Amino acid sequence: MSLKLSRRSFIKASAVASASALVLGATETAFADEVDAVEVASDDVQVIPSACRQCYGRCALFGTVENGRLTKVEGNPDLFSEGTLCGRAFAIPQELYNPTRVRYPQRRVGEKGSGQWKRISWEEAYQEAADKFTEIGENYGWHTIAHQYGTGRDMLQFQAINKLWLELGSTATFGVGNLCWVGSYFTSQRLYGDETQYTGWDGNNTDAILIWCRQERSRGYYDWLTVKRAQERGAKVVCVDPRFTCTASKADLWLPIRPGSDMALVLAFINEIIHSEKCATDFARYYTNAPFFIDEKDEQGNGTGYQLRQSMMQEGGNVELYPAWDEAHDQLIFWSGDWQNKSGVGGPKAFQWLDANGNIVADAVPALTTPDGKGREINGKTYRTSWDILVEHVTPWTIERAAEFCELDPERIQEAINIYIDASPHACFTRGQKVEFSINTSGISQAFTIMMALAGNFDTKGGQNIGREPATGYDSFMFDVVPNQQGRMGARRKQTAMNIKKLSVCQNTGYQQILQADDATGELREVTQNSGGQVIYGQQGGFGAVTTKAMAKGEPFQIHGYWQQTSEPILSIEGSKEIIEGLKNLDFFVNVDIFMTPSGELADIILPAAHPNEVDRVEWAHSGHGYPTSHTYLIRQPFHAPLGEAKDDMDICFEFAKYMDVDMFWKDKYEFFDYMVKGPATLPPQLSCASFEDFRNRISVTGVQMTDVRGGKPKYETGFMRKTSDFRPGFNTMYRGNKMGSVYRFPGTTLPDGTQIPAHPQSDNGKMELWSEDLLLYGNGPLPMYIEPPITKVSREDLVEEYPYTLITGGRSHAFFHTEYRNSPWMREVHMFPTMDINPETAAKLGIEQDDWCWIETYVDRIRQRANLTDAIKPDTIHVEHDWWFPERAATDDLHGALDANCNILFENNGPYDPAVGTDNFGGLCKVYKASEGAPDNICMTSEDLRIFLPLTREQLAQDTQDNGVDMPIKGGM
Amino acid sequence: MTRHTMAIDLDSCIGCHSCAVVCKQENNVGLGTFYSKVLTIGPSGTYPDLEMYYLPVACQHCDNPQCVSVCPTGASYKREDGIVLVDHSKCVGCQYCVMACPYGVRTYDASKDKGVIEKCTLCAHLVDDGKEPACVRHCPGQARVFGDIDDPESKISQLIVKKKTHKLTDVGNHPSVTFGLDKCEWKGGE
Repeated sequence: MSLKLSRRSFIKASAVASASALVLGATETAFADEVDAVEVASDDVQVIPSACRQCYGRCALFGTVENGRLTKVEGNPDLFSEGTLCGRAFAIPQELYNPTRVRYPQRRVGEKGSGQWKRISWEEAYQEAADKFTEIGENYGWHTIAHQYGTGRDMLQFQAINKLWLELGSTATFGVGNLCWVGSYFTSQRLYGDETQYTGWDGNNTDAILIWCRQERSRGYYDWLTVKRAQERGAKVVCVDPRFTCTASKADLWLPIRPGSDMALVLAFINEIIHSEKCATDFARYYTNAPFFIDEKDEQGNGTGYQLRQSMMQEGGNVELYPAWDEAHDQLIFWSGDWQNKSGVGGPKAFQWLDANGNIVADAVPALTTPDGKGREINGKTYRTSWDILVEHVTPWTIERAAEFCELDPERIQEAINIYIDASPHACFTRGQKVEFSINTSGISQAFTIMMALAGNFDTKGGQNIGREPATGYDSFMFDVVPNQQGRMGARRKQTAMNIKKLSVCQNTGYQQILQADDATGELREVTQNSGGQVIYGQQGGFGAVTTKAMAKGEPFQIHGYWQQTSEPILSIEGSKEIIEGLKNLDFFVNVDIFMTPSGELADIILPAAHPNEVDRVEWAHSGHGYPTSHTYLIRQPFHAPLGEAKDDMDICFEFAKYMDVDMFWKDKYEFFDYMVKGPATLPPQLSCASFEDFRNRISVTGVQMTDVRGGKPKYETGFMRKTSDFRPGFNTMYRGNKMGSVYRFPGTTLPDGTQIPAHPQSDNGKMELWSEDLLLYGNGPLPMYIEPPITKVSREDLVEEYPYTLITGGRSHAFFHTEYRNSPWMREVHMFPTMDINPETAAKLGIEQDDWCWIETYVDRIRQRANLTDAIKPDTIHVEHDWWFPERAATDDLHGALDANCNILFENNGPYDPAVGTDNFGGLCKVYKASEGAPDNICMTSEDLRIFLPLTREQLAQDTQDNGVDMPIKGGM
Repeated sequence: MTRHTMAIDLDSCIGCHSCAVVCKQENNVGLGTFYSKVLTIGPSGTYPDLEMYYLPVACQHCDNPQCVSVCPTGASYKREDGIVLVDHSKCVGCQYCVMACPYGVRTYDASKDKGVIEKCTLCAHLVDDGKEPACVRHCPGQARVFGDIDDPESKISQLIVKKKTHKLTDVGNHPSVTFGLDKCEWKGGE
């Protein structure tokens, strides 16, 4: 114990020496004193506090490590997960020592997909990658190299990948967030500058929880404890889900909604809220753009369609003055959005109502509506407020109409809405990803935001915490923000950003036909939607379908190179077969992963990534829900050094950056971690760590709730929603061109059809936008519209005869995390087969019995899954599981069985897509019939078959140095 | 007297199989064997007024265990504190107990000790160490409570008082494990 190695020096030391018991023993001094729970039985056994990364829940755990090998995982009772852990955490050792793990860099030596590999050194791998990517960049342009990251592995790793490849001039990605989460994140950033859709619900104090398509047991199971306790306190839980899930079974009320029709129900919620006495009209009046006049386009095409500015009303008018009507003094007043003090109405006048002479009207009462909602005449022109337009938009969306669209009992809808409204402002809302899997994902997120805001649930006890609170250190996105603030953006990245229209794979997605409901009549009609460019994560980077087209078809240009890191697009993105075609077209492809995977078999080089429990990380509270989860960050530190020559994939980015001469700004990950855990200078000392090592010693830091330090006042009143640190009351919509994206259709540009987008400044005026100018520019329209998904019984009557069942996909399984754990004996044993849910009535009609293997066929393709007969699903609906593959099948056997049960081959990828973030459609119509062939060939059928995936022993690991690639366990082979 | 057993609050159980998996870690349970299984009961009822619950089933540590009565070697035995165990040094793997158990929670594992019977031990090794069974400690729904059912102050007795309680079908063996279920109609354990 005399060796005083810090953990950081341990990591460095372990890179040269294998992890000896002595070195490991020394590391425990770093935290042994601080944690009672640490038990040290002997020098070669230690219990290490860390976090799980097998989903986004990041539960706190302890790993027992004996002689450098993880032998046991246990929950940490002292943190938000309260010592609970799901099965996936206990299966971590099976992941660490899995025979399918890549432990040494590999170069493919056979044809793509042949499964033939030879071990190479890191130096060879990096040098070859650097040479090949440079050749591609110089010959075809750096934009012809795509890059990709997976979900969950993790926010910091993602930052490193993103920075490396943006600096190199790459823009195209398959995306991952645009399948889930980013639609809501993007939209709420646009509307008020932060997010509260998955996160931030205050279940601890709530009287009602509205859970929209979210499983209790998909990620972060500890949330269930919060829901359960709320119910025990008397709170009502409403579950909206097409399936009778675990959540539905626990809820007080279940609304079995028709898949894809969610918007109709949310609009009915908003309609009822707006016309109820509970409607937060004061909030709307003083904190949103509801009183602003809109310069509507008339039938002749006059009018800009934007929020009215004084500059649009009169010559020499100010662009930062937004007119409204003052009910208190019957006069026209102007809201000054000039917080940057660039237009002459800033300083003390910024974020104030001014009269026509520019004097502050302190007691102004901006009118929400105009006489009869028909408009007010100003200077000879009639204007309505954005509130008028919103009210007109939602009023026809009655409960009856929602019942019809959603195939729900109107009384149930009424009951659900009553529960929500009655409990407001102490009602909260949380959603799952499935609502997001639609071509209207940003629209639906806007609707949810309006619903929560107008019910008065923003920043209330038991409502929604609407912002990351500055109560702990910095967020992961500062990794890129800090260098950019300091002018350290590389020349190539700048060039790429300036020429993005030519260099983005999104350039041809400008127009699309969609089926939109007319508000007044509810009739569906085909309209042309202008797409906004599908911005994702700060670059106009593309999304699955467009990157697939670029790789496979050369449209709009051929992608030649590809860097993929811990992701599996063949399984997770629609149009899987075209993705395979695209990956086969590549000149050069580097895959960084923990395991051998279907797409990995098409790579040229595989770099072995460390497992999440072999690396140091700050587990930031990005998936946090209620307090204290939402305010706790937690150490994830290694149980031991990475196996073989595997490396932390953040380190891989830093190392490869050196080969490519990329300025990563941060010296290494620790320099950023130090910055992150230290946080801003304003942090109270107990919440700020001197360094990452200090943080390691502390294990976790839990911040305070702003409501506890500001007299319970909401953050929009106390200035804490402002990212500008001016602490003015109000909001902070992110302005264009910064981290979360640049608008494709800049005001002032000309659209392909010749239309001019009128120039005007970004509306960043401290108001939350209900009616959104930004979303208008992105092509969604300013208000959330009902859009029928492209493949439903309603939109494709022509398909119904042959494909009579509504097909939904992707319900989360508690045994897996997306593509992961198919190689885990314990988790596969819990859930052995890809499973199709079918109603017993339907099954009887089709002659399908429990556990029959069935074909599920769409007009695109067909897959096989095993039938589970259950009343949890309606007779006309079929659910299939996502991300299935069979690692027990050889590379040459359909890329480890990536095509048999993979639901993403059932969908095409030709649009339409969400106009703002590019999300595609992942549901449709299908037929189902018994597979006379039975199960797919060569898959594990019994627990006994799964023995091939049992962890390799210490000796096996030492003996197999993977000189000829990973010796993949094949079913039946031992 | 101490009677150790388990109560499971089915209103809290989310059917996540954490108990089944942590048990494998704690007790080195082989592939193909589950000390704890998790059944889905339902959905039942008239759509859309459905009910569903999950039922974790393991050894019920019966007060009058048939497995013990039929064991020819005395390998299956009941401890003073109520926990039913199998002494692997005496077990010859005849599987009489497997047939006698009304709940099908005993498994013959050919790979262990030349073929023996495996089943839930209530983590007796942890209990003897003053700890709770692994599944109780880690249950994500905090649905499981372990303790002394003869002690009215114990958490387990308190839970039983609070809820509508049920037992698996009793054919004279008197199962000791209690299931609490308020929100759904008990459908039994078949």
